[in-house]
Amino acid sequence: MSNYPPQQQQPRPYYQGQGQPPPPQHPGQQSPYGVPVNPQQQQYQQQPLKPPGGPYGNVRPGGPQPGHQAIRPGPGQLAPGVRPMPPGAGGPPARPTNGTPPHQQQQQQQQQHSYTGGRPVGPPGARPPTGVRPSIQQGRTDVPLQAGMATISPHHPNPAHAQTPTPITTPATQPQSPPRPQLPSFPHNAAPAPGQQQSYQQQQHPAYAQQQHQQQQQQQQQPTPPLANQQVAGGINGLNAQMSAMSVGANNAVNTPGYSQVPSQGPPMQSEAAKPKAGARAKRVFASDPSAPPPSSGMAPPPPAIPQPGMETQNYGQQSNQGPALQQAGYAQHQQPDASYQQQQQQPPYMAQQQQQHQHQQPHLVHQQQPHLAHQQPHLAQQQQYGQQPMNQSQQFRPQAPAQPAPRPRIDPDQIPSPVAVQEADQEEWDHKPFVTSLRTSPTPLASSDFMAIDGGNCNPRFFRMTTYNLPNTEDLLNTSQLPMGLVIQPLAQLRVDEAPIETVDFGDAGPARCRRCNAYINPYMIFTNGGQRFVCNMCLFENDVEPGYFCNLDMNGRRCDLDQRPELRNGTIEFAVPKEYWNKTPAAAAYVFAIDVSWNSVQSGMLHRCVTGIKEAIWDHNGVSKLAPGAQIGFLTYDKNVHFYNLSPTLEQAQMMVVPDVSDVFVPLSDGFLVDPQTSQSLVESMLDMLPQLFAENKTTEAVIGAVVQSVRMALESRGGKLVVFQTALPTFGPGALRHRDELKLYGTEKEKTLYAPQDDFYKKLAESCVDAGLSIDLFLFPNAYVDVATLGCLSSITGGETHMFTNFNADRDGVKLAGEINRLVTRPFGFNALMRVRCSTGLRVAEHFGNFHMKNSTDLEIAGLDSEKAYGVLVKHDGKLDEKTEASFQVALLYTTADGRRRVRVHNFSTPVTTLLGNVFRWADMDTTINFLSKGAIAQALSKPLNEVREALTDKCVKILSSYRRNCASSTAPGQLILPESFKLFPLYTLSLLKSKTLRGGRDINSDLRVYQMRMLKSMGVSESIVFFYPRMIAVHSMDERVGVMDANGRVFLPQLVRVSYARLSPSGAYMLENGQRLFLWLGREIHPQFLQDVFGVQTLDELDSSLRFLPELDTQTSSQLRMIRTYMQAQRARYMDLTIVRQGKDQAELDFSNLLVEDKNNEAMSYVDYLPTIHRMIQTEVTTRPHEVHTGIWSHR
Amino acid sequence: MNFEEIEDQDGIRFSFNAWPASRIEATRTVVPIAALYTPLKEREDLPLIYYEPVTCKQHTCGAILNPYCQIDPRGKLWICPFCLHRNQFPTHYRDISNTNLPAELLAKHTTIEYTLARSAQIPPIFLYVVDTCIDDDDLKALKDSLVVSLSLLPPQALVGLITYGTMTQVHELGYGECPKSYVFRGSKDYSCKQIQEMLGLTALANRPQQPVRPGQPAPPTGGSRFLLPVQQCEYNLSSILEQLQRDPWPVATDKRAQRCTGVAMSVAVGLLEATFQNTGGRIMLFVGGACSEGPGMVVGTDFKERLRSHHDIEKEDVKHYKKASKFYEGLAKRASTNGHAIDIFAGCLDQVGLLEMRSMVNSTAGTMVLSDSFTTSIFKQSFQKMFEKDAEGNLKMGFNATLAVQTTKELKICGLIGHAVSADKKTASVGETEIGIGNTSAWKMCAVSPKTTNGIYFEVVNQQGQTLQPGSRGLIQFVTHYQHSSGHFKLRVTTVARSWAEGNSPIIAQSFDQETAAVLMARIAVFKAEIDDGPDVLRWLDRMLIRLCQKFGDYRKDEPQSFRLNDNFSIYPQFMFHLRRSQFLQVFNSSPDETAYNRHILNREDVNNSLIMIQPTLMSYGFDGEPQPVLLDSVSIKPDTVLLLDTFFYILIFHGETIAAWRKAGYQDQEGYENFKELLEAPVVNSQELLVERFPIPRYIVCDQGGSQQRFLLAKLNPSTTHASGGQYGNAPQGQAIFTDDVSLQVFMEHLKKLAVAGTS
Repeated sequence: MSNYPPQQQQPRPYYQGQGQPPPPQHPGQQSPYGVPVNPQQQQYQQQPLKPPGGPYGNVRPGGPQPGHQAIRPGPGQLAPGVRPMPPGAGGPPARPTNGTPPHQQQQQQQQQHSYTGGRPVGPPGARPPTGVRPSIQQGRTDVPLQAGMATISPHHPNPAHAQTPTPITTPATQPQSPPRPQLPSFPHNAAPAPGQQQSYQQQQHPAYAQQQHQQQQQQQQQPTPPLANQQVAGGINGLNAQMSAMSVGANNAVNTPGYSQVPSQGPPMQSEAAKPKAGARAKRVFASDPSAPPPSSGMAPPPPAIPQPGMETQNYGQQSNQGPALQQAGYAQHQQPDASYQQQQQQPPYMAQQQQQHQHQQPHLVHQQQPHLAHQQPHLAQQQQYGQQPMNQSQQFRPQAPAQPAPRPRIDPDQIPSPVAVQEADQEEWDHKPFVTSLRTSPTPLASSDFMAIDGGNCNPRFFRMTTYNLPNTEDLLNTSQLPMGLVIQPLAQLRVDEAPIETVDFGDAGPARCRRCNAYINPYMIFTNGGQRFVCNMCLFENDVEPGYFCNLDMNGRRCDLDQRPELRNGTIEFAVPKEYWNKTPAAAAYVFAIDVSWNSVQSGMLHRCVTGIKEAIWDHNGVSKLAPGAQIGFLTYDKNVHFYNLSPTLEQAQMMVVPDVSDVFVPLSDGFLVDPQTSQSLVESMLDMLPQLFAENKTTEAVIGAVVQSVRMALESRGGKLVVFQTALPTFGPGALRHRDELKLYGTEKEKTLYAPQDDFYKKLAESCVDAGLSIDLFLFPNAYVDVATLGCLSSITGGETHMFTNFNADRDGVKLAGEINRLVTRPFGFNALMRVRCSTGLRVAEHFGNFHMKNSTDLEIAGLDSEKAYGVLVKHDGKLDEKTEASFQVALLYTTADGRRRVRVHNFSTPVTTLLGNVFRWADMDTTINFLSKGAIAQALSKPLNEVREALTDKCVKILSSYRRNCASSTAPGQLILPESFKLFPLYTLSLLKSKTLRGGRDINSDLRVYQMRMLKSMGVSESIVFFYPRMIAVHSMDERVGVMDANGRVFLPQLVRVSYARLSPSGAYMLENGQRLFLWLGREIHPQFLQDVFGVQTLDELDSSLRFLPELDTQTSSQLRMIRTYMQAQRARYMDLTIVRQGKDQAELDFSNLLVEDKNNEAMSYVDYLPTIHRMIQTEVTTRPHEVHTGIWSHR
Repeated sequence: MNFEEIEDQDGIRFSFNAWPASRIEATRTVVPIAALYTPLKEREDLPLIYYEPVTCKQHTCGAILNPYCQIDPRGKLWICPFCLHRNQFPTHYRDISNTNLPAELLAKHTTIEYTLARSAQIPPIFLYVVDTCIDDDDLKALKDSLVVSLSLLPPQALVGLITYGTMTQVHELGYGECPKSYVFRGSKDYSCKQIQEMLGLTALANRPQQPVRPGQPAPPTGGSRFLLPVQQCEYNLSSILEQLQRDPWPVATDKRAQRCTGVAMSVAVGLLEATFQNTGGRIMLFVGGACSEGPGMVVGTDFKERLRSHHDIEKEDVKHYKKASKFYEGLAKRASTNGHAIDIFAGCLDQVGLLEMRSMVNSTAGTMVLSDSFTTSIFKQSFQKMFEKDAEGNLKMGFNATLAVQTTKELKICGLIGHAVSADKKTASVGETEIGIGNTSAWKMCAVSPKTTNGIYFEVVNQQGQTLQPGSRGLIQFVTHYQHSSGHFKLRVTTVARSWAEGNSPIIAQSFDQETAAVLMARIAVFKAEIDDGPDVLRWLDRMLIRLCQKFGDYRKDEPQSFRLNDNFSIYPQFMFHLRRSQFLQVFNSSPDETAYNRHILNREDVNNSLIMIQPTLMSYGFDGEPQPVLLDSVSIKPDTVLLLDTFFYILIFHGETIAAWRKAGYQDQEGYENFKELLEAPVVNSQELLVERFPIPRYIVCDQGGSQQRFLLAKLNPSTTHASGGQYGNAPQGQAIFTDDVSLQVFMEHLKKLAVAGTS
């Protein structure tokens, strides 16, 4: 909280204080906006000076997110800032101003200026002059560049840099390389914004038309005068750091300008709309998101680009509105020269190119936008903030575009928000400092980042992530935001080696101190009163007596004197050793039982052989020492039509096989000797395993009775619990739980398809539930050659908290390595069982729903037979009333479980987070990674009751709703034609698209119901960091690695080569790329790969010599080889599943199809490409916003 | 020729050796015409014949050519004495003449054994069913015995192993790679079909025997996985046996081990049924406690629940008895249908549920051995004795035997009492009256040993007035078809002829074999006792005795003092007296298991052994002369004698007070007291002789007068002196006083006389 308030408060003061000054800067128009604007600007200015963000800045130096937002006035600011603005004078006035073109222009200019931070200030002066324009242009270009720079690669870092230096740096950077390509997306916004703004200003001053023209001119000019931008920046600073906001506004403005220009065509309306918005935004920004502004300030330069962060505008449709001429993507959108100008202006350097691009694009855009035009037209060519990005991008790209004669992308793909840039920026930030969980000032690291967290009272984000870290105080506010309010909990997540291990506290027989009313466990947020005699529960506010044994005096600060000795009062995550009353059965170390199908299929496919090898390797290391938790026991059984148990008692000379033929009423035929210590029975077990393939070599049986196997193991482990790993090859058609083949192609895509995703009968469900009671979790390895009904069989693992693995058409040579790897993962990773999990939340909130793989008997407790470090659970939280924004909301996740080595524990994760009344804050602190994960879990739940295409539509719809909510409520002042995205959510459309392209949800008959259900269940329990890469694979170029890469540092961190966006267009035929999505790992070798690389890595000269069936990298004594192998190891270490390596030679290997399907930015998987999807989303947002424009001002604003 | 000689030759003894000629007269003789027949009676000079028997071609007859046939050497004809059909001799008999007769026609060859050309495809099968819920000591002893037994089996004999405890395991001996077993839940009643399916035997069982192509090994039959020739699987099997562990399932201190004898037997029966139907085989059950789980459960696992007693059964206060009995009867029926014998070796101090399981043994003509533990020599030696071999090295046992009886028309068959099941063969020889297993003229005995003796009961159907020609004889032919352990099928034919006599003819009385009659009556009584109440049986027995005395006694009406019995009737009442008091009819002091066991043995043994059981023998050893048999009476107990009691089930050496004292003082080891030493040793030597022939091995007890073990002796003695019979004037009673309210033989006889002469009864 502390952090937040300050931020918010600070900004305000800044604004005020600063704002006041700035207002003067800004002429009358500004006054309305001015105040807010200025403040922002000031802030920015200040910030730059004194990393005003101080805390923020520091906290999130690089972070584009909240801090960033602030920093990058653009995105964050835009959104938040914008909103505030409106309320402020800005909003209203803006519109009116809009009403008057000049005003608008002015406003825009002002805004822009303000956003741009000081720059605008300067610019204002400059604006009028053409010189300014050029500067603007430059600025834009620069800005974009900067923005791009800042936003993209170093989003986070950049922001930091950008914030203060942005203005200046940007230019510098910009000049260096029209960074656009690199960072265009984010920065662009900012950049363009300013540029636009400027242009707007300029334009505005004149007339719309003039403006447009000017813009165009500017653009043209701008390119050359990048310096101007800098200057402008300076001026802007002067104007207002608000630039950020400005930028936003700028963007808007820009857009607007563009629009305005456009408007010139369709004059007042557009201009008005645009302008007011811009103004509104700016104002709002200041007002509402004080914090936002700061960022803006910091971001000042980027602001223009920033708008992206906060909101990204895209000029898609508007152009069309305006006129075919304008490129939709382009701000000004070709429609009208103005727009184009704007764009051009922004893009100065590329202007020409841009223009060209615009032109090129225009047609496309036009197409796309045309439909929108209708809507947009009235609003001018305002373009989405995307637009900004896109514009930037488009602008930037356009240049590129030409290079790549791909007229296709209407939008320059480099200009649209790039996860690569975002992730790298975040990663860079956390590379150098730890994340302190208790500091509310810094955004939570992205799920994709490898960071080190210090437990400061809140639990590590590895354990617990929320969809937003500023909870809306009312349900209305939440509904307005359209965001889900949820948690994703990964209770046993593995900590990084350099993170402090979780402490265990033993309260003896009394058990841990708990709230008497709500049973919450003692935690750092409980407040001791009455001199330490009582404590107030942070969940239910009940005042409890402190047990005499737990009493301690309070010091002057009201803290217990023994705080240092009480980790439970300090740490967000703690484990309690618990007494007998917490036992449901005597805790015993986990038992691992392996059940192997030995029917014909299994033997023939070589699965059996690989399986036993894999098991041996998983249990014992090279020295024959067990890798399992101490005390853990192992047991084996094989089965076909019968179930074979093995007596492995170390007293025997040889393992004894016991066949249970009575599968309809199965039982466990032995008590001792079934579960044995892996150490004492090692030789017996190994010889038994070695024998298996031979024993069943002649087996002609094709049935495999998995039902009976599970029943029997459940009986065997009833008193202790553990894990059952089943290797099954076929649909069970015999014995208990015999299933019928029900998978029919003709059902796909029909209403009945969903029935295939539900179990065909209750048998396995009930069986699994009984396993839950026994504390037995089941992992399924399926090796189907045909339908196996994962929907039904998979219940076994989904209900018991296990997981399913699919090896379709298992080929020992191809899949053997992966199989062994998965077995190893499964056996060796942290494991807990017999678990009961409960999520408590503080008064005013309630837990409404749980997602994941578990069983529930009542509405509050998750019964989890077994869980490991990779399992995550989603929790939907709802309001139970109005929250007090002065206190924080608390969550407590209590997991009662038995550790793998047989100790009963309660692991408690505590999390406390601020409550806000501002929608802007909700968005700024929203966590897109978590949201996507959360939404995917929800979508899966829906897929059981709705046809897939409806689910897909619903997802897109959700995406649109969220974004348009932001657009409507936080950036309403922008021109409707602009695509404005919250900084935190700028990748949302991309991930939504990726989600749609995942095998879980994508269309296509090649995804049979088995695969689908398998994917669904997997996703249901997937953690956030896992899901992020699952949706958007991580790809790195490995053909030219420098020495830093692929070397493990002291912290176990390995630096990876720069990430590459996953699109075929990014692949160079002479390059080699590694791509992973947490499931598979590809090494793609371009057709023109340098022979030296092949020689270094594979020891061959040509691609043709390379055996692409290789599943591992040969150990060659070359640097490249060792780097590659280290990278591979490092990547693997971060993933839940074993990723076997697939080598793909361009144009040679069939696996390239699988590979290309993972390139989610391309058009594939029956869904459009990113560059196509974004405009689509934009269009829908526009529709949404324009059809219900009045909602814009409801909700949040009214609260204020 | 006395009875013993006849018995030696034909293995048969009749109650009457001359038969009343009419039905009415026959009923008046009280004791039915009946025989105790030992089909495989060992005989040194048994004529062995290696050709097929000549049978009567009359389709309903099928009698076999025997010395009592009339032959016409010239016409090459013979007349079947049973149906009077004239049969042509087969061509190879063409050289027949009165001086050149085939063996079967020689008068001395009334018993003859044909070795048939057809031999069994499958060697005998031995399926061990082993209880593992026993002490480690017991288990070890049992394992040792089993391993040893492998060396006693014929090398080609098939063996299988089923072990059970909480669950039942069928060991697949043909599985080389590792010990493998099929496990069946102990608490479930598996149907035969299920068992076969689960063992993977269905297809094989259903498939008609495929012609085996020469040069190729026979396709692996289901049996070849579980039942293998000893020589082939001895190593596997003994290693499995050696690794056999006590049933590992935890047993709470207040519980019995879970023991699924029922399922184990059901699986065993099912296994053989599926693999080797109608082939000679034995299922040998080694049980160490009562079945406490699943079908055939005799008692619950809770120790609070006691094993049923006779009292409980009488009051019908038994939860499991009927159900379990029915279950085992079902198994018995299946096993006997398929020709598989079931043996039970019990090694347990407590009851193991023999009562319920008895039908399995009795119906299949298996054996029962009841011992306190598998560590005892009773078990070890008895078990080894099972595998006794004859001179040619073949086991002294036959498998899958059928006993068919044919009679001349005046005589009909009432039934058989012994260990067999009806083969359900209804011929003209089947009578209306039913005694024992009736309504058939043939019985199936899944196993026969040289000791197996059955009581077969007949009735005369000749109506009065249909006078028979003087000197005419009634004929009975016993045809026993069995599979010899050597693999040959053999046919033993015994044809006996007895004269008909007029009802009042003294010949009948003279031909009375009181020993045989006593045993036959005992069998009837026991048979009845299985069904009826004890007291009813005793009353019936009394009534029969009185009637017999009335019929054959020599007395004047109402004058008990005048009552006399002929010599050949004289000790019959005494047998009856002891029979009434015996453990066969008195259940007091016996557990239901013991009763079942005792009755089982009685039904199997021949006349002599049976008599020992009914009236044990008592030998007295003293300084004043040779050992001599003495009265089984309390008066025989004297301080200075050693007594040797043989009850068949146990052999007891009893030292009189003085002897005991001397012995304790160790005189026997001192010089100069060699005679005392001899005295002590004499009964021991004699008892050893008794032990040799005995099966099962009797319990051997040595006790002193006054010791607790003397109860075994006192229980058997006629209580002529009791605590109540002390002289009124303080005379010390002669011999040992027995604390009982039972009447003594003297009292019994007086009452008998009184009733016998009473005229009306």
